[in-house]
Amino acid sequence: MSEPALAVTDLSVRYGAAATALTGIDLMVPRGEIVTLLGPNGAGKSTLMRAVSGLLHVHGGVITSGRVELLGSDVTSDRPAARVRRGLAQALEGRQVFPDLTVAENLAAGGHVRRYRKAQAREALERALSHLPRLHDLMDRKAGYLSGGEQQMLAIGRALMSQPTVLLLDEPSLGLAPKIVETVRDIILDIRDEGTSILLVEQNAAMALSIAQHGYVLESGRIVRSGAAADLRDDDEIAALYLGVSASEGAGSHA
Amino acid sequence: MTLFLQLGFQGVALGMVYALIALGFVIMTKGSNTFNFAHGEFVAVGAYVVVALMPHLPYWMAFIGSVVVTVTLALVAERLLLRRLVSASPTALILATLALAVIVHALVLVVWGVGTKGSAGPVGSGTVEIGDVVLTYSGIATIGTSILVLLALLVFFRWTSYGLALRATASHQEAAAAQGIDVGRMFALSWGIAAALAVVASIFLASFPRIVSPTIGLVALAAIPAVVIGGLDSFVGAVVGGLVVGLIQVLGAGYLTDYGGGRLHEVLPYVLMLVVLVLRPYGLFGSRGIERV
Amino acid sequence: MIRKLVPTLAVGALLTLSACGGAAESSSDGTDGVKMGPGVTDKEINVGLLTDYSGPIAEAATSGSLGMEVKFDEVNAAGGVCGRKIVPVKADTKYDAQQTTQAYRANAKDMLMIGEVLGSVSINAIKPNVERDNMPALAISMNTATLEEKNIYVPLPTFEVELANGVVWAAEQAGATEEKPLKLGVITEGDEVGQPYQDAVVAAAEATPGVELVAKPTYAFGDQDFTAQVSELKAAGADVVMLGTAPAETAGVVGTSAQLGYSPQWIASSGSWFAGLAEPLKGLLNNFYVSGGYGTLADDVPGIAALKDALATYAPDAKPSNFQVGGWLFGEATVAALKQACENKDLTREGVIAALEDLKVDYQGITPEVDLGDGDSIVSYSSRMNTIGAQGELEAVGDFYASDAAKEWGAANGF
Repeated sequence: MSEPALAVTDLSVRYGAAATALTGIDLMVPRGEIVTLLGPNGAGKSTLMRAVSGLLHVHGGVITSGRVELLGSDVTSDRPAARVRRGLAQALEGRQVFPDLTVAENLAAGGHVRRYRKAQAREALERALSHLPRLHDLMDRKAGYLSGGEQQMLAIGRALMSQPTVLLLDEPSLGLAPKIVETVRDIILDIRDEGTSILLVEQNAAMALSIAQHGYVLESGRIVRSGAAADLRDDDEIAALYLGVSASEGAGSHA
Repeated sequence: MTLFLQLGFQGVALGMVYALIALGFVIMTKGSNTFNFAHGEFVAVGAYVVVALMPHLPYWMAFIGSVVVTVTLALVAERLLLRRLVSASPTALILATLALAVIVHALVLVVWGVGTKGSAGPVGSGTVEIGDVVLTYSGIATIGTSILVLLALLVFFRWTSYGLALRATASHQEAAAAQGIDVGRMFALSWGIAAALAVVASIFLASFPRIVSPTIGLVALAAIPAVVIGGLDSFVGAVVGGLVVGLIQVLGAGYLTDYGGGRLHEVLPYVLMLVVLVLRPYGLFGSRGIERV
Repeated sequence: MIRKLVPTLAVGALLTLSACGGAAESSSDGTDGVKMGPGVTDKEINVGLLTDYSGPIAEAATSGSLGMEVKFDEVNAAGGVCGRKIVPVKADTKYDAQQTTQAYRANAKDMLMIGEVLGSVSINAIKPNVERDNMPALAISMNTATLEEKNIYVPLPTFEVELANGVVWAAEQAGATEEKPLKLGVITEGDEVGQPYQDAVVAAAEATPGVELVAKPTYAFGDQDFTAQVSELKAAGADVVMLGTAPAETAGVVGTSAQLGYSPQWIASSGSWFAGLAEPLKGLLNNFYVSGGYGTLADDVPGIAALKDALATYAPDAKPSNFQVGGWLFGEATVAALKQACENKDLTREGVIAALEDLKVDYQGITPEVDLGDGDSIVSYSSRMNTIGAQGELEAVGDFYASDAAKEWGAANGF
């Protein structure tokens, strides 16, 4: 159990011929911990998530140097499906559920990669729903008709269906009412307590730092600060930049 | 009344053929975001291969052989052309499939010539009579087989893991990739299923007394109004659209010949298509695109 | 309405590029005092064969070309024309407009005339060039639309003639009278392709006593079901149905009729028949006749005997095919034109065009003598009836005849 759940080493990314999006990123998620990645819009948070999940090419991005390791294995050039099979799952920014599939079908699609038998699928579903009881009554509803909070829960539940070791959560509180943010926060903790390692990207720094053990601050494609969550929370500069404005209404960043 | 029932039966049979072709268009459009104009030529290849194999093999083997050839062709085309153009503009993709159509058509002509061939259907010229209405074996086989194929598709998309993965990819490509669904494989799967449907459609499009001729690929494009009328992303719409076009063509040839120079039944499906495009661009059954909150 | 979409997109742009280039007409006098145009020397006359040697209908077209070539071989062995050998300049059109244009441009300056250009696709592709270059051309496309093109000649009877003669034949067979009329139907494509065929049948029916035209259904290009048209013919009680259809529609109409329990006598033009239909329509052809404009390899006439001799001598390995007969007839027409031009001491293109005017071509019994007239006329009103053999081949019943009804229709339409 010595190697971390997720390790990013000296990672640089660029989009097409445009300027470099990430430069020399080092980041680590120890097993069973929540690590948060903070930063303003356009800092490169989503890019880093895509580099980890393998979806960079969809947006025309290329890794120019560095490594991504999952549970000690180099996955830098693996396809997304291979990474999911190795235990990585993610809930995409903006929730991005399958709008014209039902909640049940959304969840089942999350388990597709595992080729479950019937009993295994039921077990995975029960485990996922144990964290997200609200979904129980919505199973036959089309995902496109859910509320924002429900869609966020579905996105998390769908990611859990592959029974991941590492979970990437991209802006789970984005656009949600404070009360719902509380619920989501509890769900994240609940999942962590089951042993899942979590990389949490958030603009809501207060929420993120309240549950994370460790944090990184990304600006203009570089890590400018990192440290224990408690230290970051107490840092004046961080407080001024992120905690004060707590930009929970910001639009998603794309590069 | 007898004439009406007679034409209605033939219209439903022809409509089912269009429905199968239309379904192919819908599945490819949903599964790979590409409207494939070469689909009509896949139908042509299917028919020609069946006819070529029929003298040498039992019918069912000729059919399977054609499915293998046609699906392989579709997969190669998908792999060579479209996956490389995945990030190209929709216009570029459509033009690529048009080019593919011309190439496959030329290939068919080079291999089999411009002459007509025999019928490719599984049944001969027999008939059953119910009252004064003649039910042809071809028509019965067409309707029966189409219903079975539609049920099989329903089962596949509703209750299998791959069917679900394909629908998920159609619904949201990036999200599907994020779940570990191999999107490239889903593109290929959608093209493969469409090509297999094209072969089924082809044997009935060239079922007695119809025969295989080089225009069969263009004839198959008569399913395009069916697709638009039903809705580009709707399976139910494809079937309803196919039936509408088939019935218009056959009933129209019987009852509308005194108007519009006897060609109204040829034009009407396209008129309907335009009307739908103007009033309800997503088709009778298509989704407006369910909005994400 | 979508039928032309794909080819038009692919070929349309290319075609517009092809309307230039050609051959400068130059002439000189030969040592024998014969005026010589392009492709002619003291020893040779170059004749273009623009046909499909490697494309989709290459099998039939190559066979037809061979019929022409052995005609030239036969004539050359007997001293040629004007003391010159006829040399075929074979240019591959691949049955494609673009290829035809290229083939024409590459070879036009070395050809005195075109002995054959096959198919309306190719004819349409080069007709501006043919007109500008003053290039005489014999076309294999047996309909009246081709007749009107400048410098283009169709040296055999057209499909309209076959249909009109077929109406008269059917009436005679049935012993039709005013009291006991023959009920006639006709089915054609409902557009400019089918219209002349329908017109010819309607005119022939009106001109023939005892024939009552009871139904003339049409179909649209691309129609896949003929239940409506067949039901109309059946309800009208047509005893004889004239087919002005393309082969695929012939199968659809005849097959659907059988299924609906309707079995009239069928009479098709030779353009509506294709040997390959014998298989799908097996058992349904007992009362099916084809009105054909020329004979078959099975005929016992001097022309066919000469063709068989020439094939045995110059192409002993060739498989017999009726396309060789058609090619041979075009060879006959080409040779007749060159002989006439030689007689006029003018082997230029103008000379050949002048020679073609009112030229009589004796086909040695394969079909009656034709008169090319002004080049815009139907050259012969003769055809004969055939039944269908086991392999789909034509088997003659009776002899060639030219009906007054056909001639009257032609005269009325300026042919």
